[in-house]
Amino acid sequence: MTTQRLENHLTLTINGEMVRLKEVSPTMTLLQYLQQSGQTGTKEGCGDGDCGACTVAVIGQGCDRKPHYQAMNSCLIPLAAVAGQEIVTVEGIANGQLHPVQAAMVQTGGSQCGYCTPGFIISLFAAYYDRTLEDAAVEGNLCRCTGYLPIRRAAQRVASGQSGDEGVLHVGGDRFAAKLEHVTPELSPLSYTGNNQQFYRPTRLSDALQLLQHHPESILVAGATDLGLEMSHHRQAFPVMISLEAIAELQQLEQMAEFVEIGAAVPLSRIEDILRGVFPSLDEMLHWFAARQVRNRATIGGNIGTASPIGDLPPVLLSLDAEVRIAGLVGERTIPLANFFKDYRQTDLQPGEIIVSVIIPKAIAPNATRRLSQSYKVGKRGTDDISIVAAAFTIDLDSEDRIVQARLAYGGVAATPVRAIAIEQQLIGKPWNMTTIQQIKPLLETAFTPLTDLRGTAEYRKLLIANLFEKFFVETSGLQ
Amino acid sequence: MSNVIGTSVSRTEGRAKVTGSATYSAEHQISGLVHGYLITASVANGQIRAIDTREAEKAPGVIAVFTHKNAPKVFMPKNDFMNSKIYEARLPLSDNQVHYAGQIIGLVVADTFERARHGAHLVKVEYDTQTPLIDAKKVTFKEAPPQFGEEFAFAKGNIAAGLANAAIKIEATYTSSTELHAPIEPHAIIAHWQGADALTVYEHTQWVAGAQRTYAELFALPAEKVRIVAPYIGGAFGCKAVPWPHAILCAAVARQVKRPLKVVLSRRQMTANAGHRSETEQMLRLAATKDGMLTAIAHEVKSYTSPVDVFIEPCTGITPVMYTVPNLQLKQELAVMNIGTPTFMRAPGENPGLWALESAMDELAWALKMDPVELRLKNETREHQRKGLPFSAKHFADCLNVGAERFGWNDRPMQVRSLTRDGKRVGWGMAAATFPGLRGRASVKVRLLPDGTAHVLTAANDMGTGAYTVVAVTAAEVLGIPVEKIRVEMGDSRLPDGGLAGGSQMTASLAPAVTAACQEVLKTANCTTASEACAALRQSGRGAIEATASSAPGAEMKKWAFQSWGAHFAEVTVDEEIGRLRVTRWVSVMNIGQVINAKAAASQVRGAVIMGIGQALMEEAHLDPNTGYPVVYDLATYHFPAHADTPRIDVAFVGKPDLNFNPIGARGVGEIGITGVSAAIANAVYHATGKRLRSLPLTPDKLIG
Repeated sequence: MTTQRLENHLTLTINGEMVRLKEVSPTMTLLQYLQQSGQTGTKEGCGDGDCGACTVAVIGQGCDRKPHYQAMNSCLIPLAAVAGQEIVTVEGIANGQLHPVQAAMVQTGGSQCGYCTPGFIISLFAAYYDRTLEDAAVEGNLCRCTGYLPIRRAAQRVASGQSGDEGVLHVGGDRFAAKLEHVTPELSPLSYTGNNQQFYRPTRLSDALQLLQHHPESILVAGATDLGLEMSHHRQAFPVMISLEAIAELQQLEQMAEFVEIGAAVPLSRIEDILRGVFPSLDEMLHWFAARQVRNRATIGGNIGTASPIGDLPPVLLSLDAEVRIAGLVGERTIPLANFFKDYRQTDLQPGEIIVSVIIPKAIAPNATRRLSQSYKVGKRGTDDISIVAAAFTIDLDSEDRIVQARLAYGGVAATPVRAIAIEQQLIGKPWNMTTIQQIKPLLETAFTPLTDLRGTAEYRKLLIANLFEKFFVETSGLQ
Repeated sequence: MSNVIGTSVSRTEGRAKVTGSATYSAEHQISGLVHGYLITASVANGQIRAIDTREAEKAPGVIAVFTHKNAPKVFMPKNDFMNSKIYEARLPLSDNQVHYAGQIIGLVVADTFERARHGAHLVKVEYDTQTPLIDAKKVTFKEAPPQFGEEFAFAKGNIAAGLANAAIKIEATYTSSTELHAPIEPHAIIAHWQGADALTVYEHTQWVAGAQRTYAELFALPAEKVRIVAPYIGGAFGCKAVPWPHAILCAAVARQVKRPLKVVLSRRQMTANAGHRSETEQMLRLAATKDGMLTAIAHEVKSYTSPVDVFIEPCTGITPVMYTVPNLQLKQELAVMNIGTPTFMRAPGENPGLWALESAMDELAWALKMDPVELRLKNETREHQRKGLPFSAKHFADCLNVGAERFGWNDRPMQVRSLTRDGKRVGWGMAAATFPGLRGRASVKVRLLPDGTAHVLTAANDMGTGAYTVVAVTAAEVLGIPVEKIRVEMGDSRLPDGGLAGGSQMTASLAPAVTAACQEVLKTANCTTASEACAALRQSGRGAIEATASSAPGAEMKKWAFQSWGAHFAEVTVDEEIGRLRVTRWVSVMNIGQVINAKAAASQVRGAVIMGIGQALMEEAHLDPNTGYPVVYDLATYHFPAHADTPRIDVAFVGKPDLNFNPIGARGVGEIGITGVSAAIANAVYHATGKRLRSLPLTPDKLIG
């Protein structure tokens, strides 16, 4: 299918109503569309995916492959990416009566100025149907008035079934729960043109590779949590885009005895749910990774493909010795992730190539008897933040607690995510004790030359590089 | 009278907010609306040598481009804060001067927002540039001029002698960083002219009637020809009180292009063009006797303003208020930098002032080996030492004692580095809070209807504070009808002037006016209760009984000093390996007179404490040291707390209604909660680590370094 017929309309469903759009730019964001069409309940607080005021719920596939309401930042969603999908906004959830999450927010005083409120409502709404109404449900929503406490109380109140006078679910059952019973949120293939921009969403890898060959100028996109910023602020033109979201080969997540293979287009929230308990350092980092709205869109392939030096996942994947599977028209190749990052925002990806998957081996070193592995993210804010320094460590020990293999990986300390290879080699054969840590710390402090920026000074970063390793030792040795 | 005042009432506008039907400034649907995008300066100090708009003018959808060469005419308003006020005394596009990076130098109007923005990027600007003044260490300070009629310099006693003869002295300098208000709703305005001499402005404003008069003066119109519509405000904290240059320009250009025009600021534009709290440097000298009686306080403050307006962060306002001292000296200095214009931000002056004073008091307590609560109790003052008036209904000691009790303060070991938990240092700290009791004139109309409901109408506003509900609760109390039967309309200049939502005065101004108007309605009906009046209405077949009443402060202002009080108690943990500071537990006890809505009042305090935690831990707006351009430009670079940074916060109120102040006895609660917060945290950090941090924010590098 090298020549897909370009359609000139997009259809999507908003609050139960199907809309058919013509001539719109495929990279107009969902938020911009909502605002321009007078549906102003969904707010723009920043247009950067930071504040969550624009949160909408999109019915998407959960880790169980069943439909779920997923909270997402509409300011970062290109309109074409939600073609064929069902979207719920704050205006759509009260049906005469308030929804339980709305009733609880009124009762607890969870709304003050009210501008962030619609975003909180939708985050709570999505969590309500996932039965995950804990504090983390609102980690991606910023509020400047209430101090969050009444919002947490609202979540607790709904979770414990006290939704008050209003907000009793409607007679005949909950229409939102019922809706989930009969939708299939499979993404269909799409070829759309509007406003002189083309947007392709193939469903097979071979089709994507063909398209890429035909349109070498095209830009690959998956969750758009990074590119969405450029769209939101119109900082970049996107004449041709190829979405990788619907490609079956990129949506696989396979757990084998020796390794786990994660398709490049698998969203992080799904990885979080499916792999929980498999790699402790991955669990930890995903917990701190941006916020739920972003993790519902962001993909593992995107996070390494964008090659940000402060991306959260690369240090974890480097410390787990992950490999990257890459496909081109001529065939596939698999390279260590450590060889993938070439320079600031430069990767080994060649023209015409697409990241297919990330492979994480499970086996510990041959002579080792146990593995210690953990990751750390130091940011300024408790959640919903970019790291000052991210670090991930994997240490394999033999039966006498001597280090057999060490991988120390960092983000935020160089132009790319990096491993401290020279230091890793020095660690081999040494006993895993405080003496070793103290010998290594001064070397770690001078291993990299980080920058001073508004998140932290170079000196502080150097100290973190060393002290996070000590923290790792202290925590994994039960010294606390 | 019923008994609603003081209970917990859910917000009357809560339903509108949770369903997305509350309409904010940018969201009013006006047919024929066109969009404006600002052109902003890329240098911090210089002159525009040439500005080429030809390409922009030819771009698709572009309707017009305005620069200083074709600036629409506006008139300088009185700008006295009585009649009218604008944030920046230089009118937009008035000449080719650039005074700060990001300054507005033009506006592109187009049929869509995207096309206006594209047009703005096509405008080519050439500058003659001079080195900007942006290094706080290299600027020249001068004595600060009076602000709003009040002098800063003050002296009583003999400061030199007081300091010289003291047993214990503390001398320290405290700094605070530039902070942004960062409301979640970005600044937005729609200006809609009906012909050339009638203007409707949809703009969030903390001062509806003031905005009406200001726009009228800007365009030389009678006030009644201007209508302000602002039913909802998405957070303000001081930065949405009066028009900024973009708003003046929007209204002026809308008249020129004869189309309703909308301008919305981006987060980046807000950083330069919508105010900030100036950074401060404060030197404090405290002297005390061996038993902890203060003998001298000298407080010297430096802050910064822009080249185009004067705003002084009035830190020394709190110094004569807190503690009795025979020798007192106050001084404020000001320097001009090439930065945007600073302005009021939640507790202007009180907040940074108490950061310094309450840190210094803690240092003094340690030097004296005295409990900091005891030190404060010992030195409490019964009178305002500058006004020479006694405080009315002051219950500061109760705040300290009740707070200490609720926190378990007496279990605190009086030794640094004495508490640990999970491998982290734990510390406890406390600080006082204060904010003046302000009140202004307000007018309210009440309409009682035969069906037993009432409408309350006033051109006040609710920026999230809970004013709608305060008005409803007060009316319900006086009329004796349920809160649900009161409909409140605010935020429209066609209604009676409800005064200013600033200086925490809206409740104190409005509640007495609502009371008076409700009483007037009952008097007009010649009934003692609203139900009697409604019955009479139904019998007579009349439509409604209506009354308007005003209320304003009077002779009491000459007899008393009105001030609210509080105390914060904080627990922090410090992970010394990585410099991570967390606030883990909090108690605030406030004395604000009569609480009207307990739920909203406690929430105001909690929200303010969290903004204070942000100030203490993370909020700082950096400028590029070379260009002067803000390098903090969005919510990923200007950090304020997320929910995970929020500890449990126990809030209690003590004291009695302040009936000297107004007939309700309420003093307002919007700002006091943020005062003292950063000092309580720094004091707790000292207890945890033995490290005295005197520079906000208390970022990890400072904790480790």
